[in-house]
Amino acid sequence: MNGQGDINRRVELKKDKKRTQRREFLCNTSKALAGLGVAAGTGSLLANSPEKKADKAAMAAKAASFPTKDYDWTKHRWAYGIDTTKCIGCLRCVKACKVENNVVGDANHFRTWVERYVYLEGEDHAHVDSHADSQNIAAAGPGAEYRFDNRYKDEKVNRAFFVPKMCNHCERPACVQVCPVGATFRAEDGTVLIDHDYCIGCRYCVQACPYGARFFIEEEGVSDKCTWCYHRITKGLNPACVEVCPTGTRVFGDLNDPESPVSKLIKDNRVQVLKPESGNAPMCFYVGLDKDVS
Amino acid sequence: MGFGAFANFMQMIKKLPKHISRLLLLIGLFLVVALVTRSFLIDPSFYQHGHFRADAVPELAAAEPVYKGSGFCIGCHEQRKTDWSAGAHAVVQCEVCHGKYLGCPENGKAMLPVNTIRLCTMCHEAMPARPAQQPQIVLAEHPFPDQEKPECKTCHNPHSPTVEELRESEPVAVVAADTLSEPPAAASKCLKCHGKMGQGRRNNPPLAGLSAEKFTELMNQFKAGLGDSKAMIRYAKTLSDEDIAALARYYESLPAPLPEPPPE
Repeated sequence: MNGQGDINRRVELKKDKKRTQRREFLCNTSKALAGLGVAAGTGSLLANSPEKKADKAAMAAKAASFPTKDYDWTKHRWAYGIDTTKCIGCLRCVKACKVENNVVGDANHFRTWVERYVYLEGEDHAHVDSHADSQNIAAAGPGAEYRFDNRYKDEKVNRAFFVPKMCNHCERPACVQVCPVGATFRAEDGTVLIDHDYCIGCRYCVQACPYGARFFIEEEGVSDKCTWCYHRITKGLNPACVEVCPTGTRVFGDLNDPESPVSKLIKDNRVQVLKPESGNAPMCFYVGLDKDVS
Repeated sequence: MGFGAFANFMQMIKKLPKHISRLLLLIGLFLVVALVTRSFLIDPSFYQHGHFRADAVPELAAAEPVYKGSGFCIGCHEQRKTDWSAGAHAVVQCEVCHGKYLGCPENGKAMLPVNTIRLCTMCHEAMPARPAQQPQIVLAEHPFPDQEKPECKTCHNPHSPTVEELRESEPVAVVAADTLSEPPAAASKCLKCHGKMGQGRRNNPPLAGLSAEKFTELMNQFKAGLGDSKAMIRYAKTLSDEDIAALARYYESLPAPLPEPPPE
């Protein structure tokens, strides 16, 4: 009996029009919202579909060259050459880079630097120092005119040489791979750049770089590195370090142009890269690298 | 297809048990919220060229170059072009020694190096790691004519330095090489300051064309410790009378240099 009563009550309730309406209303509204949401979601996903992207690229190409109106990054493939046999360790490149790019002024932040390798007689390992060595900083004096001190002048030196170093603008850069926010990227012309607005300062890239080319700007909370003076190369100028190099150690150019200084350097010499085993495919080509340089 | 498929989908949802359809509803809602939020947070230029903000590239390219290059300097300082671009320092750009362009003449002149020894030794101090082709000096052994105020530029023209070679812009009478007498060994020191042909350089007077008597007289004075130039006194004391005689004959045989060009 009780069962029959329950059923009756349910039927009664179902007949309660007001209640049914509210339930239906809520149900339908939420379904409609969900439907809209799915539609909107698919829409915004579609916005990034390959077709749309191709459209945008075509539009951009039609409108103007990217990134500036006089410079089209699809037409260049930049590379850098360093002939270590010519380097005299004058450090004018280091100074010029600091000035040109307004790099933090202390002795620990450099976009490019020079290392000195010295093998003393009877020793089989190199003594390595750079401009940032405390003795060399002391030699630079208050004007920060970076220079190497002459500490080996009275030693018996078997062989010695300078090696300029910088960001290698790798073809497969580890730093770009680890960036969690897309703040660093490889531009189509081959430069690896940093978007300081997007950088969250996690420093993964600083650790990922096998060349130690990146550093962290504490004041701004962003990482920084060489851009091959992107503001200069997009205007047809050489990077500042190449501009001031008095010996022709540093050369820069476009691999698409067989007459560019770097194409010639690669053609006329047997070039090497630093740490090829790291798989980053660096785009700085060295002449006269020693086995101990890495 | 659109609406029909959607209606079918809704039918399917309706047929599902309530706890499942509610869960689906929640997931849908979350998706909507996430996608809407994302569209606000991500820069419109992101993904335009890849997984980065495309607008960052023109921003980076927009900065103004600081180093203007020597071509820019030569635009005004045309007189520098003749000696600088012809000499051994043509590879050294203006801004390497003079510092970055400061906006001269309005904002004052570019830096004029105060301590030339410190500046020049950045590249020319003998150092183990420097390649042999780089001209280098051992500071402690390098002679400075003026001991009170030692300066590289006393003897070397910083814009077109020479070690022993002739300054190309120097006005010198052109003489066929075979008509010249062989310079005596002692001349190797004279030419460092007085030019390869004894034509004189900067503050150092010409020797070429000087009569043998005059030359011998001057050298003997220096040898006796007389005269203004301490460098000459020091050097003359190392010479024998035969050396002086040989030098006097040699310099007498050389043609006198052309008169100085009028100052710029």
